[in-house]
This record gives sequence, structure tokens and C-alpha cells, in this order.
Amino acid sequence: MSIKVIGRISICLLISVLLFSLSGKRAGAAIIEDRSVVIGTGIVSAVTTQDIRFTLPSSANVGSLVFQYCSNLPWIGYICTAPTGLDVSGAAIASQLGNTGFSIDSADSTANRLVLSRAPVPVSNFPNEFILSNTTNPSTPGSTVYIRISSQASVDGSGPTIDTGAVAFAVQSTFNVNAFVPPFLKLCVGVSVAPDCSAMIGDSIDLGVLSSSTANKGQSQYATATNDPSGYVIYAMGTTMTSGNNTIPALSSPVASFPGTGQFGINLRANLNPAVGQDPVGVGTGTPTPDYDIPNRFVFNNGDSITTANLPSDYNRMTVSYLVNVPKNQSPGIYSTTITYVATVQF
Amino acid sequence: MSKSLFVFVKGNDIRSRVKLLLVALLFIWAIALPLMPEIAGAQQITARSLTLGTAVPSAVTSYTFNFTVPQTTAVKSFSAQVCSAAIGTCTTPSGFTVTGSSISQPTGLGATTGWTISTATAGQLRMSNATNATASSGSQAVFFTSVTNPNAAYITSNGGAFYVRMTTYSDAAWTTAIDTGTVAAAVVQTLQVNAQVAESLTFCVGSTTVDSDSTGTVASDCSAVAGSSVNLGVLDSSKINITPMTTNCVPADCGKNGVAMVRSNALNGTVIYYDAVQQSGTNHKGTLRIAGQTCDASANNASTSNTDQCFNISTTQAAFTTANERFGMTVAGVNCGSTTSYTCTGTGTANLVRDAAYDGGGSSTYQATDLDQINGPTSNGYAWDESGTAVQIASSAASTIKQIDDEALILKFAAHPLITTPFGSYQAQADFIAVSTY
Repeated sequence: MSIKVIGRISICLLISVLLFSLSGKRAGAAIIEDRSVVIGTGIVSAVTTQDIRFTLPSSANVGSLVFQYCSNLPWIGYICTAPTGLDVSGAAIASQLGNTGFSIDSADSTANRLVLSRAPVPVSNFPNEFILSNTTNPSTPGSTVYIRISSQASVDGSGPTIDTGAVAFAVQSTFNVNAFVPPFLKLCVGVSVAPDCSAMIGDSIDLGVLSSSTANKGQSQYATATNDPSGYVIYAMGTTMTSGNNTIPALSSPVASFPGTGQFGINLRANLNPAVGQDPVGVGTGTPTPDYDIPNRFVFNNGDSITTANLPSDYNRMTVSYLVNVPKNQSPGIYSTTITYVATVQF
Repeated sequence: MSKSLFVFVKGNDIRSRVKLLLVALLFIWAIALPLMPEIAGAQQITARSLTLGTAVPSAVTSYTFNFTVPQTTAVKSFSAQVCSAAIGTCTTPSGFTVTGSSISQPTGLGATTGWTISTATAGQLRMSNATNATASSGSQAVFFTSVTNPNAAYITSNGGAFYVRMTTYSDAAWTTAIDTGTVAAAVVQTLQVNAQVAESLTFCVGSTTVDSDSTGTVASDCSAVAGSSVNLGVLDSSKINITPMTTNCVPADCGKNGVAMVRSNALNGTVIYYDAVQQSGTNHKGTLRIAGQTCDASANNASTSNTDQCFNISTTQAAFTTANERFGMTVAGVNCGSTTSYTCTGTGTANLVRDAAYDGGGSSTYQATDLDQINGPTSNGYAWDESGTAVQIASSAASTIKQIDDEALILKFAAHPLITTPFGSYQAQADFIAVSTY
């Protein structure tokens, strides 16, 4: 036999040995079917659940199932790189379906290897589901974890594999959606205003010639809205009506109209005596303060809060009714006042 | 005797010597003729070859002989004796059998019909046609089928090569040979090539400036997908804000949509889910909210409060108007700019199919008008599930092709506050999950 022939035979033998060695590890091992994993959350480092589902094609005696977690390859028999941060050492079986009777084999489990053990009995070819709790996700965003699944006849995960397969999951950072709602406070004042402040008309009221026999009246409006969680307060700032040193007394508490007496007051309701004003309108949560919320009663104190809302409020339009009564001996003159309405919030 | 004959002619003239030579030759021919009657006049068959249907040991396959006979004598039978050697004693290769074989009618051997096979002789493929009187012409082809190859043991013992000794006969009993020739063939061990394709899943979530399913590339693959947030900017009760936001939006995560890119070779498909991360606070922890605040206690997913610090949502996809406080998300389309393994030009051709509750308007057309601030209503529908339960938004499980090559879901978020929506910085958090079934 020539050297060439011997060499050729040697090469053939070498190739045969290599092919055999590559396939020999999985000789007889079947591929696990319909396999998947659903993690409770894919957020990095989260302590969560793993719902692992698969079907074992073989019917051999199975005493253990091994879940090996790797970041490099899904193939059993290859070096496994443990995913950084992943920890299944504290995992528990929350539920099991299909081929059951398994418990955690803590002695043979590690941070990235979980062994489920039972007394060896033949498996049936129907879907299995193992829900594991208290597993910790890897800490690297975007990383993929391969779970190498295998069944063994032994009870401790050792020895030849019967069926093998792998599933994968990936973890992410929490995805955030950001938005900003700016502070909002709207107050519009006029002789008349639209309920949503889209229009305002006039900035003065002429009460005409004051009479001691009939009530003198007028009205203005304001509307307010805010998104302050604690709502808003509207204050009326100003004085009673004056003409030089002559004044018309302001009503310090809610009082009905008495023509012939000196009275200056306001309220925020629809009145019949005198017929003036309008009840609040709008879907907001603003309401008149108690003293200014009595029909046919008028009051005015500088700096009084006249409207409040305790919540964010859509628009409410308030109608301010003005009442002026004067006695017969009221000094002549042009009486006037300026009322400033101030809205405050706590932004 | 030869000596006597020599003596007999000794002394005669040359003519007598020639006569004597002819007599001697005739004598020799007369003696030799019975010893080699069959190959007398046989010539070598030329251009001969044997083609096996397969060379796998023990395979039942076809044997096709092609050759050219040198003589025009009508062929009435043909044999192909299979041997382990080209000459000498014929040993049939182990495993070879003609049992069960059949033929197709040969060509170039005269008659085109009437040929029948004989499997009576082990180790020989035979056929005959007693009525063929037509001379062979051109090249010939003989077809045997269902022949069993030598077995694998023959490879071990003889290396696999075998030889077929062909003979044509002028009679139908394989007796009177016309021409002969030998061809060679071999059975070889099947070469098994093993390879493994690993289960793969690459899934990433980030942000992108791409706002189309057919134009632009989100990233070459997941390794280039960045960002973990998008910004809806400053909300305005008179407008609807939709990503990508540019108006009155300054932070780095403005001008971007969300994106979820997936690559998987799972045979049974991949499903994409999201679940709302439950934030700190009370009630409605999974919506767009201010963390830590107490929100309205109405039933989950049915908040009707417009004054708490939790945006109202609807799990049913619907267009947004300025009449309601709303927060939601939709998958505006599937961008295939990074897909190279198959043809994919956008939403309608992608393997990932959006869930009906998160498919914008239900059309495969990307609703490009939904971006930044619009007066409303929106062109897309939006939905959000604040419960924290995983909600499916896309899947390839029902697609014809279930594997996915870097298909990217373009995630659009939209929000609209009312006047009473409390001011402040709001945030919604989501967790995206890809589940591949192998």
C-alpha cells in the first residue's frame, strides 16, 4: 500500500471522526417543539416572571428539565456566557401544566441555570407550561437571553440530553413618553364677556342719576378658568363710590336694597329687587363666595374674595350686580369708583 | 505429425509449400473454431457509458447505458453483467440485484418496441427482442429501472467501484455475441453535511426621526437604535399634540417617534406586546400622569375626570378631537428600511402585521398628516391600556412568512389636555416585549 493511499485513507478517517464528533452530542436528541418564553416585563433588572412553554417530542423517562440562560449561543453543549445581571437562583415554580411534578433543584441550580427535578417517569407529547416567579432580568438594555432547554433522565440535570431546544427574550430600558401641561389661568372682565373669554365688551358702567326713591343698578361680567389643581380665588379690590370727600356707605354684610338709604354693594346672582344680574354660567367649578351668593342681598368689602374654585376649573362666567341707594340728603356730585378684579392661583 | 508433414513436403516446389500452408491453417482453424464460437467477429462497443440514477449504496435506481455498436448486425438481445472486476471471473457486487427491475424501450437498437427484460440471471441486466430484424444505427441507449445498487459493505470491501460487461447478441438467447464492451461505475457513501441555525431574536425599542413606513431607515439594525423616550412637548388645550413634535418642543427627545425593531427567525412567528409601567401614586398608574399624584378613583380604563393629574385614555382605538382629554398610541406603520432578507416596502408588505386596535386608521397607508400640533381630529386612531397587562400590538404569527428581518414599528403617541387638565410634567412609561415561538 503506497504512502499516498495511506494518506488518503487517513484523511477520510479524520473527516469521519470529526463529523461523528459534531453530531454525536445530539445523537438521539429530538428538537423541542412549539417553544416560547413570555416574560412578565422586559425591563432591565426587573424581578419578574417567565412563562416558558414547549412540547417534548420524546416519550422517554424524564427526571429533570434544565433551563440554562446564556447570552452568546442557544446550543446545548457550547460554552454558555451568563447574561450580566440575570439571576434565577431564587426562582420558584408558580405553576406548571403538561408534564408536571417538578420542583426546583436548588442544589444543582445557579444564577443562570435552573434545574427542575422529579422522579423519572415517561413524558407525554402535549404542551408544557412552566411559570417561574422571582426571576431577575439582565441589566444590559437591548441584550438577548437564550434559554437552552433540555430534558434528562437523571433527576439532577446531569447526563445525556433527551430533547433539546432554545427560546429567547430581550430586555429593554423603560420607554418614556414625556409631556408638559403649562400653567393656565384666564380671567377676562368687561361690561359683558363671552363665557369662554373669547370676547369682552366695555370697561365702565353708568348708573345714571342717583335717586333716593328707587334703587340704582348696573352690572358687569367676568369669566375665569384655570388648570391649577387647587383652583382659584377672585378678589374684588376697590372702594365704595365717592365724589370728592362725599361717599356712599358700602354694605359690610349682605343686606337687601332700601332706597332712600345710603347703600353700595354687589352680588353675583340674578336679583329681583332690583331686577339686575344673572346667575353664574359655565361648567367650571367656580362658585360665588357665600356673602355674594345671596339673591337680592348686596355687600361690598374691599379685598373680599367673591369667587372660588377648589379644583381645576373650566370657564365660569359671573355677573356682578351693582346696587346704589342714596338718601335724600346725599351731597350732589359725580360719584364713581374703580373695582379691580384679581384672580389668584397657587401654581 | 508435424515432422511427417514437413517430410512430406520436403523437396517440393514453392506452390506445393503454399498449399501445404493453407492446409495447415485450415486445420488449425478447424480445431480452434469450436473453442471460440461466440466472440468470433466480436468488436469493441465504443462511446460507452453507464449513468446511475443515484450512487447511494443499496438505492433502487435507474441504470442507463449509452454506447455505439460497431456492427450493423441486428441485435436481438443485450446483457450487462455487473462484476467487481473488469476482466476475469465475474463476482457480483454484494447487494446488487436485478430483482424487480424493468426496462424502457431502448433507442438505436432497431426495433423501438417489443423489448422485454429478463431478471432470471442474477447479476445480469438482460433484455431481448426476438423479432428485431432491424440493424442498429447511430448511438444506442438502453434503460433499466428499479435496479438495486451494491450495498455499503461493498464500499468497504471493494471501494465501491463496479464494472458492467455489456454484450450484444444476434440471437434472443444471449448466445451469439456481436459486440462487447465494459463500463465502470461506483457507489459512494452519502456525504452528510450538518449545520445549525441558532434561534435568534433581536428586539430593541428607541426613538427615531423617521416618520414614514416607506421612506427613510430607522437604523441599520438594533445596535444602532438609540433613545428611550419621546416628547409630546407643551400641550395645548386647543390643539392635539402628536409625535414627532417640533412646535414649542426643545428637549432632545422632541421631533421623534417611538420605534420597536425586531429580527427573529422563529418558525411560528413573533408577537410584540406593550404594557404600561405602573408609576407611583394612586389610581390610573399606567397612563400619562404626574408621578406620585392621586387621581380619580373611577374604574380602570374608564377615567372620566378631567381635573386630575392622570390623562384619560381609551382602550378602543379612536381619533382624537379637542373635545376630550386623551392620551394614546398607535402603530402608524411598519418601516422596512433595514430589511434586506426579503422584499418589503412598507406596512402592506411587511411580515409584521399591526393589531387592529393599534393600526392607526386600519389602512396600510401611513397617515403622514398626524404629526406635531394639529387642530384635530386626528387622521389616526389612538389607544392606550393603562392596566399594566400585556397588550398585543403586532404579530407575524398569521403571516405567510413569519420570520422577520429588522422590521420597525413606528410608534406615534398623541395627547390632548383640556383646560382643566392640571399643569405639570407628565410621563407615561411602557415596557415592550417580543415573544418568538420557535
